[in-house]
Amino acid sequence: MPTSDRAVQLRKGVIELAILAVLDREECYAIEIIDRLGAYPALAATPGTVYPLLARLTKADLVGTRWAESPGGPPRKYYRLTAAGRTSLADGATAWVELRGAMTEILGTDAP
Amino acid sequence: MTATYLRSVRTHLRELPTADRRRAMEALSAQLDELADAGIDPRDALGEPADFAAHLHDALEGDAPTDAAQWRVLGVPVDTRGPIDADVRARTWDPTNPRLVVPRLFGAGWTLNLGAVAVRLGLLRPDDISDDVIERIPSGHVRVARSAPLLIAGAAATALALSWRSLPGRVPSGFDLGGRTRSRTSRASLLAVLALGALPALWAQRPTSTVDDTLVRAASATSLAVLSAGTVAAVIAQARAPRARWGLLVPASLPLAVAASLTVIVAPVRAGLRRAWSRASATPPHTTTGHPENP
Repeated sequence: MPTSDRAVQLRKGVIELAILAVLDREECYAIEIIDRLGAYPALAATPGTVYPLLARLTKADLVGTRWAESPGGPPRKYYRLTAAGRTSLADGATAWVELRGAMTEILGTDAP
Repeated sequence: MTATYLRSVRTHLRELPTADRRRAMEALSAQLDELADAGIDPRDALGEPADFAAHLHDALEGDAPTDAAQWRVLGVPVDTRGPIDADVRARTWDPTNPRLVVPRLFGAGWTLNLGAVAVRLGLLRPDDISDDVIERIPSGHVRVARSAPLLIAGAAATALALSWRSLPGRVPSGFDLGGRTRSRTSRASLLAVLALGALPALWAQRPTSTVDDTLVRAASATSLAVLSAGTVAAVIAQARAPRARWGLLVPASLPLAVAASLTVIVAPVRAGLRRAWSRASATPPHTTTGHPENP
């Protein structure tokens, strides 16, 4: 997980988009989302980061939830993308690609 | 024009922490001076003051942690918004925040995040609380939660009233570590201790717009009511048996206050959870909140 202040700031807006991308692949419960993000060291996030984001995405109706039985405990809450979430993911992906291209260019050619 | 614009933006940023507002105003003042030098109307460059203030507010609020205090004095958080601001109160019940300790709602210092305590105790998962759960909390549970601090404060008041005549004119006001009397004060000061529990209990009866805020108020009032009742009980008992160690009731009431306030909020929430779970198992798969479209 990145620890420098700069990396933390850069990651702030990206984690939300990454969560939408994870949920676009399949429905997950919270720990699964954290595990999926953890597979990418640059995106690894603590529950303290992910849970509030999930609450915000649910409130914004970008993500829907349902309860489902779990093998060894109380039912789990599963998260999935809503139609609005899919639109938001598409917008975010476009913006990310444009941003990445611009930043690669400006860092690669104009940086001292 | 610059001063008018600056003043107008400032009035829209009153809710921001003082330090953030001051920094934002200093930066804006410099930017407005540059625009004035270039002969550009700030409304043309930045938009209407209210709109610009809204952008600024969003940007600065997004940087502030949700459990941030209003001020900090020598590193100690200080806040006065707890009694009037539901968002501030919500930090004492935030299961998504893993921090056990958050700034107090009113005054200096810290208090417990009951949500984190419930998660650590395995009573809830951090993401268990959502609108579908809150909506399913039985109204009877909410009524019981609201009346809990009132009952505790009422019991303390009754005990004090019944023992008032038998109390000496001066009663214990402080105890040493062993629970013995360290100092004494007028018997009337017990009324102030009683009020510390009774006033929040009455405040918790006021109608609120959301069930979760009702429970948060009830939990806060319950913890104060237990502390107040514990202190009143310690003083009455110690006044009757001056050589005893009834002062130990005061520190003993601290964990009791945590347990009581936790019960007041967790019991209704778990009732709502159980209803949400049973509804989920009784309905076909993929019945969700939100508007999912994935199969």
